[in-house]
Amino acid sequence: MTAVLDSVTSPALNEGWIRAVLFDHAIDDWVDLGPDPIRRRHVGQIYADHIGAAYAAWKWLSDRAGTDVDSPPAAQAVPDALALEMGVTDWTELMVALLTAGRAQGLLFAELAAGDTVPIEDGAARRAFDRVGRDYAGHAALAFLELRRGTFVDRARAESALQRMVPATAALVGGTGVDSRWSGRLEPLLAALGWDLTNL
Amino acid sequence: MTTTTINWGDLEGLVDALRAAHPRVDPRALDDAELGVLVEGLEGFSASGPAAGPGDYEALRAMWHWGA
Repeated sequence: MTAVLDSVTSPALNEGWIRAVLFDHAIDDWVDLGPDPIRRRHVGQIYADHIGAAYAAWKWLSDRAGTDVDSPPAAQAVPDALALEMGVTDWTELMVALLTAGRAQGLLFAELAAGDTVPIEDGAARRAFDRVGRDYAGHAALAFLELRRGTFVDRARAESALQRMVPATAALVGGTGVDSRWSGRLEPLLAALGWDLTNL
Repeated sequence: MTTTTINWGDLEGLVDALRAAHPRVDPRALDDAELGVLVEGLEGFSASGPAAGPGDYEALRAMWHWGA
């Protein structure tokens, strides 16, 4: 189904990621990552938002192809940034993933909603992806706050995770047109946390 | 009569005031400049307090949306 997808649509609606999240339950373990009750509630919401995003992406693709939304896409490779995001093992890694890869996904979905790169059919892209873009922006904001407070994150583990997530996410958004917005937004936030984007 | 002032040194106070003044606003949809306009328009906001530091807008956005 991905035969004719442009530079934004292809990473935003990656079928490997859709299959992993929606059909293979790759992010089920996220719900156990919250270190306290309020953060387990937060991660439950984040989990639901990711399922919602994957469903919106798959339905949008299926509707345009005239195919069955209940049939999973074929197994295929997942971009490194999204594979790292799905594979997080603790709260610190989840926060770093939402700050970096999640923020990139949010920008990609917002770009689809704005219809800058794909034709909008009666507002279908806006309806499908506007809220998803805001959801992911909210996840990224929470991640920044958690990293800034530092109560439940380990700074050394966060830095180690950033060293994996930043280059992988830069590769994900490379050539999409949102890459400069992603790095331009992330750089001052990392600087506020004491990290230099260019040295990660 | 006592006038309570709030500023960027009190993010919790700003969030409480923003929620009361703008209950239907989704802060995730606002950029930093738009958030700044809402803050500066709050009754009791004092611009003579500390300026917003790096990351304060993002922290405010998170606290407003998540109740964090």
